[in-house]
Amino acid sequence: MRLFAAMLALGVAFATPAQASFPEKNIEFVIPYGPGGGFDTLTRKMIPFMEEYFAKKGADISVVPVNMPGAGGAKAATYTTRAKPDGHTIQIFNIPGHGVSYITGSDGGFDITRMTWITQVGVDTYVLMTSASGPFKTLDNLINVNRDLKIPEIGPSATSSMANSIVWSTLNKGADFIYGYKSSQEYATAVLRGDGDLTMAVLGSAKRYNKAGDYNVIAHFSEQIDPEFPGALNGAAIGHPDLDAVNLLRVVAGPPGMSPEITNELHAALKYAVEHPELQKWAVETQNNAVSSATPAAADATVMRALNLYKQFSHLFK
Amino acid sequence: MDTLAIIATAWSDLLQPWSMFYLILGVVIGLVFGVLPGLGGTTALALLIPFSIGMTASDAIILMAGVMASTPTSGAVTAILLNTPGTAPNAATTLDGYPLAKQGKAGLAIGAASMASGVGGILGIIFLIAMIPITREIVLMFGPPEFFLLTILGLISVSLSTGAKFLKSLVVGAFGVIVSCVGYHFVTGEIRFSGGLDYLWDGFKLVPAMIGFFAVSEMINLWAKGGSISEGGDMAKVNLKQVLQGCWLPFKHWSVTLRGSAIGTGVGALPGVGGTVAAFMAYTLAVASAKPADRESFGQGNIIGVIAPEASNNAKEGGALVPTLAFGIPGSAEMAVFLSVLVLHGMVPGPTIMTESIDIIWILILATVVSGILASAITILTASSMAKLTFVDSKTLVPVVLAFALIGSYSLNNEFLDVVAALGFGVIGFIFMRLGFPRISFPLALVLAPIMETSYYQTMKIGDGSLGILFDRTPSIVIFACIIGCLLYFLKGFVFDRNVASSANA
Repeated sequence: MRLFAAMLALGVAFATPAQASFPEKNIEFVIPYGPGGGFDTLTRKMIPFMEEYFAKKGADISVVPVNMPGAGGAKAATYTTRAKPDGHTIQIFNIPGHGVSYITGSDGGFDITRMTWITQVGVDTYVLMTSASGPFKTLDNLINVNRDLKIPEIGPSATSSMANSIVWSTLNKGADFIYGYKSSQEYATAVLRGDGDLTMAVLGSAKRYNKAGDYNVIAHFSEQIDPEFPGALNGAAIGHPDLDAVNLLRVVAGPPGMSPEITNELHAALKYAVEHPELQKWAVETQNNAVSSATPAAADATVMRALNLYKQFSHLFK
Repeated sequence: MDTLAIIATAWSDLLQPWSMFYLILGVVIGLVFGVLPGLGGTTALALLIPFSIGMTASDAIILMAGVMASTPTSGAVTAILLNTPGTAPNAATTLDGYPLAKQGKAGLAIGAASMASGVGGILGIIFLIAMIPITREIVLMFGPPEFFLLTILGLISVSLSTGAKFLKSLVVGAFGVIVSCVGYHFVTGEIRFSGGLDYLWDGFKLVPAMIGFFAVSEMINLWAKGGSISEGGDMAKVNLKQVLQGCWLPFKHWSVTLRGSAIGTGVGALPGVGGTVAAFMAYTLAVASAKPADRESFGQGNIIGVIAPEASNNAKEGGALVPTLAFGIPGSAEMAVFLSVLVLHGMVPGPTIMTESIDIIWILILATVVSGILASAITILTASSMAKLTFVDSKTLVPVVLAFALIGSYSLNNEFLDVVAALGFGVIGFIFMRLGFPRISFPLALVLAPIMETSYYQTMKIGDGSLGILFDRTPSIVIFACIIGCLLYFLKGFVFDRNVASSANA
């Protein structure tokens, strides 16, 4: 038996020489959107520190950002799924955005549940705002208006759109979406212009947009309301604590079947990047202060918990 | 600190040796990326992002300003020499620029385009400075109804600019609209007309389509025709003197330059539609305000047809910075990348950037002005050498240009199917060319059709299914009046020309 165990150990040792020298070449870091957005900026900010980490370990490689926009992020995810699981192709994912096919039970060209989750690099909670010069000052104002609420949004699979659907369905209020805006900044501005009644932005963006005090902050769906928005309600305050779990995760994963050794090494590199003082300083300055660095197992559990929460509302997204 | 002190500090920062180095580097990179078909400002900026991370915020912005201010200047060079617009806003320049090149006057056209670009760029920045206090109001004035009407105005402008070929131009525009329908639909999430190809999930890409439709088809045509691009003229006359003669023309036709710049800065500030619509509006207005006897010469090599769109499409750079800085809404793909550079360096675009980062904003403004002047100067000095390309025999020119065009198509996304698309559009463009259809409305339709579809849908949703909203707001009423004005102008010309023709025949 001991002999068998020793042979097995020897076998494992011989079977993984390539993993010991990971990374062997440049790492492709896939960004599922075009240059310039929040996912792109955060990824590009992490990359130099990842390279610094690998350089310290004697690996003189580059981490190359690859923007692959298309089909609401599905194009990139399909590409990453098909890549060799050797750690040289990883991607930043938007949860629940990339989980729409899992949530709705449709075929999205890739299986989100099979990805090898490396770490979570961000979590964003949602803030509900209306125009400060408009008629809606409170949640009751919105609920009591005698028509469906008009909500400017990017598209049905945008995460903020999904969050809006869940919130207004839970509150039994009709929502009429106006799709086609290119970014959260654009649809937030559309609310100021009067195109729609309200906007749902992630916390960091909400703080940026509201610097000039243009908006009423009505709700912050989080267990802890941000001190910058003292008058805001949260899910618990309006009798729906489950709404405080509706959030946006930024998670990094590799193709299905990546080995634990490589996954752990990538996790260490990303943890080093995320926790780097320079990145943290930038995150605070630009209101991107939601970065964290969960272990692979914790990231996996967080992703599945979030997807299953959204799955409960799958009828809204079909 | 008062504004003058901030400007003085920004100016002294810009004159630091490293800052000047980055500025010149940006200009050179911008000129190279602008002149090569397929490679534009967006590609250049995206490639420079990793290098900019280690720089100070001001150096990074100076480098980027150098690139952004110089690509439209050199984009006109390919429009004039090869009938291939470097970017969609350069498309209007091909209308008279290429005929001038065929007459052996490429140097004159490049000189005029470069000077008009330089002047337009400076006027655009002056406009930006004047707009700083009211940027917010301007951006909030333009919503989906205004964008919808602007796209219609753009398509009418481009069709009018083709004169007698108005209907044929509309056919090509309709083809562009059909091509733009391919891919992911933003409301239904459906993938339209992709034929099961992953490549078409996001539709046909603008750059390979433009390269194919213009550069490849032009080279097929040149190969079939033989000889050189220049059908007349004397190569010995293509010298610095000819270029400098061209440089004087934007001042001689100062009202055209001023009007083009004003349209570029005003319309250019609108995200998405700005630059391309502005260039065609400037061109159409230049034709409309010309003496009746001169109108026939447009499309045949009238230098005013080069000055108007070039003044406009460089002036738009100042205008396009307005929504980018004031709201963080990028007006173009290039501005989207620039936005990420701002964020990477800790700046937060939005209403407060004008107060919190005003020092950097002034560095950006000054760097853009200096880069624009430098880019124009370099283009003017090298124009006579570049213009000689039009005298090179097709057997030499066609393989070289085709190689650059196809490499340009490939390099944008490292995608082989982009090369196939460029070749396919090249054949289609060649067929249109041979049948006498003006290809010019194709890029505009490709750019504007998705915006038209989106803004129409949004307008109907905002207006509860009624188009009455188009007449509720002052900006949309003004744009609607412009559309009616354009159509009346077309009808007047149509009826007048027929009457003149009838009297002549009688």
